[in-house]
Amino acid sequence: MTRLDRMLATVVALTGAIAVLEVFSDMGRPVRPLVVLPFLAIGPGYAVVLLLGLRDRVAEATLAVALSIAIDMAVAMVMLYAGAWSPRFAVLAIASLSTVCVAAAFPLRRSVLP
Amino acid sequence: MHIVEAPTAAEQDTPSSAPSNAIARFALPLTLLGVAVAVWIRSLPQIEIRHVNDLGLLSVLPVGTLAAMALLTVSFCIVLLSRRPNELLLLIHVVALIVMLYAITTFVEQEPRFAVTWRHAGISQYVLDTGRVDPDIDAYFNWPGFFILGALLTKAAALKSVLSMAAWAPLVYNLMYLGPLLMICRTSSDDPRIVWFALWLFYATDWIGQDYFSPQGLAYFLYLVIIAIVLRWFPGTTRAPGRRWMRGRLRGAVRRFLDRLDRPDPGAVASAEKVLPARRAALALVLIAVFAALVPMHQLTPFAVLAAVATLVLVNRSSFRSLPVLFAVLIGTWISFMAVSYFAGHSADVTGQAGNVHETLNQNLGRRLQGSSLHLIVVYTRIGLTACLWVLAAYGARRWFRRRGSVLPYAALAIAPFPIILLQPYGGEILLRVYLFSLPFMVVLASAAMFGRPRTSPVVLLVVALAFLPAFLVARYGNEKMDYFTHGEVEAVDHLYAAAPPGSSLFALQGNLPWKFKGYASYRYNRVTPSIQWERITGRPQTAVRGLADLMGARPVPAFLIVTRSQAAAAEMTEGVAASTVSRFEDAIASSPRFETIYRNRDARVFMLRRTGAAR
Repeated sequence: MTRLDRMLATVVALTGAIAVLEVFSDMGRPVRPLVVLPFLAIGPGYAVVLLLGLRDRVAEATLAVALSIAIDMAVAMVMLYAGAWSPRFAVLAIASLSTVCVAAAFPLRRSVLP
Repeated sequence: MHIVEAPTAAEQDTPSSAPSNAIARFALPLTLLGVAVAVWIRSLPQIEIRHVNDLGLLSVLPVGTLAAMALLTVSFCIVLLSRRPNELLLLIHVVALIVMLYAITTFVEQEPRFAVTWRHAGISQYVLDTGRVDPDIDAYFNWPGFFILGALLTKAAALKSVLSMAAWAPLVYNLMYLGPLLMICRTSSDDPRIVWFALWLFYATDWIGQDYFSPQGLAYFLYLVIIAIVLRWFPGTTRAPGRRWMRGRLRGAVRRFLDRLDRPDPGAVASAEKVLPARRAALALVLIAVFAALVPMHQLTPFAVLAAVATLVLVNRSSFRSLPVLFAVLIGTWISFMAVSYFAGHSADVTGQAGNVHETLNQNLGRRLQGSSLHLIVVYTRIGLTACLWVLAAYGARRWFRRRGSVLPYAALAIAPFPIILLQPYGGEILLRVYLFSLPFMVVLASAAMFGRPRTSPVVLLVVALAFLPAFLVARYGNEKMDYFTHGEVEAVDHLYAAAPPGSSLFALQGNLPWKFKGYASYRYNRVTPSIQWERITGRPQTAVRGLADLMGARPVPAFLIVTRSQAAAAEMTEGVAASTVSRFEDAIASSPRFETIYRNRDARVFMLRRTGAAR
């Protein structure tokens, strides 16, 4: 990982943690949308993309958004169809997954997935 | 899969000439860009949307707005035609174009546009209110991914309502498309001029307007991402055995044509060799994950993706040969298990018109060629813009074919969506969707028409770049008179919901109004027309009022009627109803003892059916 990758990964993990805190503490507008929406739109996907080591910022950003949509939707749909619909716990699950991916990506070097 | 050569060494700046070119390269375009943005922002308050006519938004745009767009185009062309186009500058220009073309209505209109936007918000609101989806309600609940995601984002971000996001959807979606489009265009050429002119053309010709708060808007992003991944990391590298067998049995010009079409692509081979199995496997999982998100989101787009990836395999431009099978299995699984409710009740609707091209053309073209004379100009502009782009793309494909590099994947992807027309008319919209799905590849081909040898004159390039913009404004915003909504209309709908108890029958003259954003399944929503035809409303309004009372009183529940400005505009524009017809009908309803006016403002009236005597 480059220094920028590490910085962005840390931002993703921190934003996820803040999003969880805001959602569970019922913090309202205007701060909550400014943290939660960007995190859900980019965070989980970027955490996964870090594992791919793509070396192309455009591709990384594109895949980060696409995978974030896929992850957010998968978590929400599983909860809904399981009869356990809870946006709060969905954010918790997504933030946890993101943190695990970031933690897994940190020891990786670019050369692992050439 | 590279089209044309990048600028040659002779075209590069020499070190001595670089400083003298710095002003031309950066200062001039940045100044023009800054002036264009400033003029555009200053022109916005002059746009009076209430004065829009049947020609659409263009009829109320001040000279400043158009001048700003023209200035931006000139600036973009200056950067594009410089010897070493600066990609950051080009990106800034394209982003400015996206804002000017796609966010303009967000800035000048009071409420999110399109009736269907409000309906989509209502479905997400249903998920928020109930925490479940009921597939028996309608088709949306059989492909609910987008609405569940909308509900999650709204609740998690503590937004006031789903509609808080809706007004910004066109801008956000189009900025999202930029990433995968850039990836797709870059697989076609090393030449930044071709790449960025293709992007410019995309945004100047995407008049379809499916980028509102809709499953199609988001699904289109995933469609682009999937194709970008396949083109970038799974290019075809070997000739398929079937094609080799076929080629062995062909002779003469046909064989030479196929050889030329199918010649190995050095760029693709080189990039394929760089992707080792570990990353390829990881990217395959990404592809499957993205497609798995797409399948429960939209009915049509997964089939467009399937057609695209299958076409790439067929023309030997995808090394992931099992991908179409995997995608088909995912689609089949969803339809078999999760969309059973819909297919149980609508199998005839879905399959009954398969192959009926005549009906498809009638619904998609024939029924659109009607309305007021100005509206017909809009319709013909749409047809003309589409035809011009496709002709330019065909010319580009021919030029590309004559140069080195393979035109095949982009030509094939441009054609791949067309067989979808055979499936069904898709509510009269299938041709629009086919245009949308083929657009990214049409613009790559069209861009190739403008560059390479022999050189295209800069004047021609500027004329092409400029000519599409007014056509785009007419084609995309040609229905604005009926597509925009006012605070007054939304307040009337709010009043309707406040007055009508759950279970009531809600009526509108026709469906173009901002309703269904709450109580999606709690009310019975009805249209007055065509049960009562416009001819009757126009010719005998008093008789039509009695018919209306009978229609609304058919069920023993409270019944309400809402008439709005946007319904009148839609009737006038698309059905040729005279402007005065709706207001005269409103007056007739208001004077009838069978109705009580319970709310009225400048843009809307709400009536309640009186339950008296014969009405029972």
